[in-house]
Amino acid sequence: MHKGKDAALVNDCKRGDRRAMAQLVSRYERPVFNAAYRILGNVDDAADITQTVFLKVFEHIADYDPKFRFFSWIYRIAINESLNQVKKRCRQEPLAASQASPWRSPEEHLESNRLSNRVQGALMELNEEYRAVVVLKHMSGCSYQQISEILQIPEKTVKSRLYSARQLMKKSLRATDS
Amino acid sequence: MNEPTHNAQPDLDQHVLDLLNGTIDGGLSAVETAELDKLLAGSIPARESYEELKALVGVLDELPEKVPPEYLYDAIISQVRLSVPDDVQVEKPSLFSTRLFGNWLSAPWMRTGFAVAAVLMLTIGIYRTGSENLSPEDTSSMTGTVVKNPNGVLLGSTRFNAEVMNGEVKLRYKDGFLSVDVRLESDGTAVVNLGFSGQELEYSGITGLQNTGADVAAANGSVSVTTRSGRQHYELLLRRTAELPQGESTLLILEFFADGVLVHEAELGGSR
Repeated sequence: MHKGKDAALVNDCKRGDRRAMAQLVSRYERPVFNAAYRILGNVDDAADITQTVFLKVFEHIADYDPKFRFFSWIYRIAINESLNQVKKRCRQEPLAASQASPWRSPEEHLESNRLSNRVQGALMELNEEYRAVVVLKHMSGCSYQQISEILQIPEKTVKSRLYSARQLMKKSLRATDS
Repeated sequence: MNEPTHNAQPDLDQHVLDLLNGTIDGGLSAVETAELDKLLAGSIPARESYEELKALVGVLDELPEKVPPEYLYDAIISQVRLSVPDDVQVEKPSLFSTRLFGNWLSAPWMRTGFAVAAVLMLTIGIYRTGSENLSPEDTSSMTGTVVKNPNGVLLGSTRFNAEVMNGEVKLRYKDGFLSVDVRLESDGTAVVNLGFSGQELEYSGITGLQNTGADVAAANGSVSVTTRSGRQHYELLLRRTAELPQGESTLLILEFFADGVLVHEAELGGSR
């Protein structure tokens, strides 16, 4: 995480520097997209959420509190937006979150038998709180302390959710194996 | 002692699970590590659980990164607005700005040098360009390509799954229009009513509709699309006729009918 550089770019953004904005987008587009994808399980939704996240970040850049690290802030927005989208989906459609959209892309169809897709399936069976912790730890590479800062929960709770999530994923993958 | 089968692992004590997870994440003290080593040496279920956990974490850590769609970066850049407080002077970066290049580059003799170099490069460029025919590839690379954002800014979405019909609708702000992207799968004749009365909007058109058996009826403040059974994907475009009063958001009403029976209702909104 480029803490010092991020802070300088954020200050430039606050002065209206669009090149600084573009650099931040370049730096965080892929990580934000991947976090959203792993929570939502859908490329189109992840792309929409990524756009929303950056729109919100730069709309409120003047409110950004430099006592928090920038990556914590952007990840928090990304996780919250993704989880809100998951909740919205659940309210509108009383189906398991792991049910595939009937309009999967050809790439998503091809992936259907790969291990990564089985793992993604097991991930989608977790509740949102567990899923967020797994995504931040394993896909975004965050430490317990960073996850605690992003989700604003104690480190002890991060560990507890992560360990429980791993147990549930092990059971789910064992079930699909058999 | 009977050895447990692989698929019927006994539940391990929470403390043991904490130790197993902790060692994989590299967070155990020397005392805890020694305790775990002793435990693993004496318990097959613990060893099996450890190996399984290690394999899972390995797979999770190695999950391939998803590449974002090509259009996404440009879509974000083109849509983001930087809010700048009134008391902040917006800096217009200059080629000779000391902030960009340091004091030594802004010296007068350096500026003259840059100007001379620019003239030389321009001369060489004109000579080379004039001396050969340009291919279409050359001109496209010179003018550059702008990847247009095909999706626009997502304002809201709704999804439903009923016995005879399932659908997904996304509301976007796109190229100055409100786009209502409708995907439907229906067992019978499907009718989608879109209501926007009092929203300072007018129906502007529809794209993607397969004409066979389809009908579009637009009235003041609403539009109705009738399609045959099966899968449909079309996009309704609405144009704003006047600005919304400050603080108000767009609110669209959607009704979905299958063979004349109301299946689902939804509201979609956004601040555009």
